[in-house]
Formats: sequence, structure tokens, C-alpha cells
Amino acid sequence: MIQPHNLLYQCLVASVLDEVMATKPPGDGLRVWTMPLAGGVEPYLLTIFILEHWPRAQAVAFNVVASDRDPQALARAGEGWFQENELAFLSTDMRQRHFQQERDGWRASKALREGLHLTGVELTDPVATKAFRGMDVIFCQQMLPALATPLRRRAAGHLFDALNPGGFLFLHPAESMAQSSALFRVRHFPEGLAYQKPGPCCP
Amino acid sequence: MGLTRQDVWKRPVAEGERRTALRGPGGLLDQLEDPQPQVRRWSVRDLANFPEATRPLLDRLHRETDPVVQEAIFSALLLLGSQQVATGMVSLLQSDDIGLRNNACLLLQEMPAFALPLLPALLQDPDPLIRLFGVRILDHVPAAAALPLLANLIDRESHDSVLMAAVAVAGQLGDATLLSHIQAVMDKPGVEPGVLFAARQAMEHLNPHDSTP
Repeated sequence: MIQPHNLLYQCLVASVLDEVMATKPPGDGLRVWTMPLAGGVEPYLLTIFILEHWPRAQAVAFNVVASDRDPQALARAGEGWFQENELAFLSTDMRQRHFQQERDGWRASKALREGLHLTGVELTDPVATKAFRGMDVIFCQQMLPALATPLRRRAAGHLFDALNPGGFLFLHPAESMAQSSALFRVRHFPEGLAYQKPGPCCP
Repeated sequence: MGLTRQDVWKRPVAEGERRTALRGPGGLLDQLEDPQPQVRRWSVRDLANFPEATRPLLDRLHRETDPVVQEAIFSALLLLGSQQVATGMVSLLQSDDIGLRNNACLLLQEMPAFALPLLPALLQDPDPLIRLFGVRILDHVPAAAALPLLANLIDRESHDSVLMAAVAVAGQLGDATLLSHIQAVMDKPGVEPGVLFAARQAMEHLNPHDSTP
């Protein structure tokens, strides 16, 4: 299971989201794409972190699109039921606000389960990834290094195309975009590092 | 507001991005010449699935000025992966554009089977920069194929930078058959200090308990 990266999420809410929103027209919402599902829990943890730590979370409409190539991970994410150790990232209060105890685990609230957009996609598929557009933030952790170079470059290109100009890509802290694409700007924040697609706001 | 399933993205989709199905190569080749870089990039993405697009993509690479489109073309050519692509990359090694040269070298490193037949000519090129690229590519081909090429290069190379790089690769390959060739470099009168250092490093890799000072 991919462990959630507290620093990446902190970087998102403390540094990135407000910068992204500053470049968007009034009334425009926020789109976040996260992959893979890491057994299903990852999109819930990300969404809860945004809801709990971003001061503007209730004032801005935002989509969380979560995808994986594994149908079982998608099914599990759809059910939204997890064991307590999978939710260790959350404080007790947060867990109780967003989950309800069920049997020997916890089920995510209906608002969360129905609010996430779960979808299957193969990141290297040039046709399937065309549907993923207009993203402001992408989390793509521990997927690119698993690909041979030609497919890794292709996948990086798909991530680039999926982002809005000025949008941000987060990789696993141990990863680098250097071997995949030279198109992203590296942005260093106090909490961590992200890759930004150049745009009029940030050439 | 907050989390919602309703799509919050209100911007219109550009014409070049509207299609969701894979398009045939016909119209895509025309779009390689579109004035908008985004349209060219989308066409390149789709052309990566058509081997017959290799020549047009190689030709476009020599004229393309937008780095986003250039990268897409390199990625597409890597996916197409053929002797034609490798030969096309060799011609780019002589480009005045540093980015094109380096990317061409990187692509050749990623396609060793297609690069190998081209290496003898690269390693004998009168331009030391081309020979240096050849050494960088040689580092990525199977050792059995690289050894004779490398030994031959070390024996006759006169440019210090190329020789240093070749000797370094020899050390990394770690094959003892190269020992005598490196020793010959070290024994040459007036050998450049950088070359001598590289040779000693390589000897230590090849023969860690008995490297001749």
C-alpha cells in the first residue's frame, strides 16, 4: 500500500492550491486527479486532507478524480470500507467526522463515496487519457518508474496534456521527472517539491 | 460547494482536442504543419501509433521550434522504435541545436539494438563530438557487442576527451580483456594527465588488486 505523504498534502494545501486558484477565472472550480488508488484509500485521505486543512475547501467547488487500472482497487474504493490501520493517517476526530464504524472497520460517508469520481484508466493509453483534461493538480505516485522508458515518456506526456497551464504534478518524494520529461518546471516549496506545467501565469 | 461529482471545468474543449478515438494518419500529417503548437502536439501523439509516420516525424523534428512539440516527437519516435528512427537520430547528432543533439543521443541509448549497427561509423567519424556521442551510446549496448568496438577505439583514439570517455566505459564494463588496451594508453609517452587518471580508475575497476601506477 502506498503510504500517504503528509508533506505532499501539506504542500498542496499550504502552497499550491491558493496559487492555482489565483490564476483561475471567478467561479471556476478545482480539479484534482490522483492515481493509483493504493488499495482504494488514497483518494479518501487526499480529499479529507483538503476538506480539513484548506481554508477555502467549502467555498470552492472541487472535483477529485481517482483512477487505477486495477478493477479490484476501483471496486474497493467505491465501497469505501477500510480497516482502522489504513486510516491511521487521520486523527480520531477526522475519522469520526468522515467515516462510520461498520463491523471491524470504517465506512466512508455517503458524501465522500458519492463525491469521488472513480474511473479506470491505463496511463499509457493515448486514447483513454484524452478524457482527462483540465486538471489543476495531479498526484501520480510510484507509477512512472515501473514503466520502460518509451512508455514512461508517453505517460509523462499524458500527464502534461492533462494539466491546465500552471497546473501542478506531484510525484512520490523519491521520484524525479528528470528521466521522463523536460517540459515541467520544478517548483520548490517549504513543504516539498512539485512539477508545474508552464503557462501564461508561469512561463 | 466543496467536493462535488459535477464537473467544475467550464472551459470549452479546443477543436484539436475534441476527438476521443484514435484517428487515422491522413489528416494527422497535415496537422503536423498547423500553426498552433497544441494541434501539432496532439497530431504527434496520435501519429505514434503509425509506423508510416516515422519519416514525416523525423522531417518535422528538423524544423520544429516548439519544445513541447519536439518532446512529443522524440517520445513518438522512441515508441515507433526502428532502424529508420535510429538512422534519423544519427543525422540529428550533427545538428546545431544542442537540445536536438542531446535528445537524439538519449534516444539512441534507449534503442541499443538499432543503434549498434550504426556505431562503427559513429566511432570512426572525423568529428570528435560525434565519436563522443558514439561512446555514450556504446555504454548502453550489450557488453559482448561493445567490447571489440571499445577496444578498437581505445587503441586508435587521439582526442583526449573521447579517449577519457572510452576508458571510463571500459572500466564500467569490467571485462579483463580490456586491461592490455588500457595499459597501452597508460604507457604512451606524454599521455594527458586526465586520460592517465581515467585509465588508472578503469584499471582499478578491472583489476582491483593489481592496478599498475
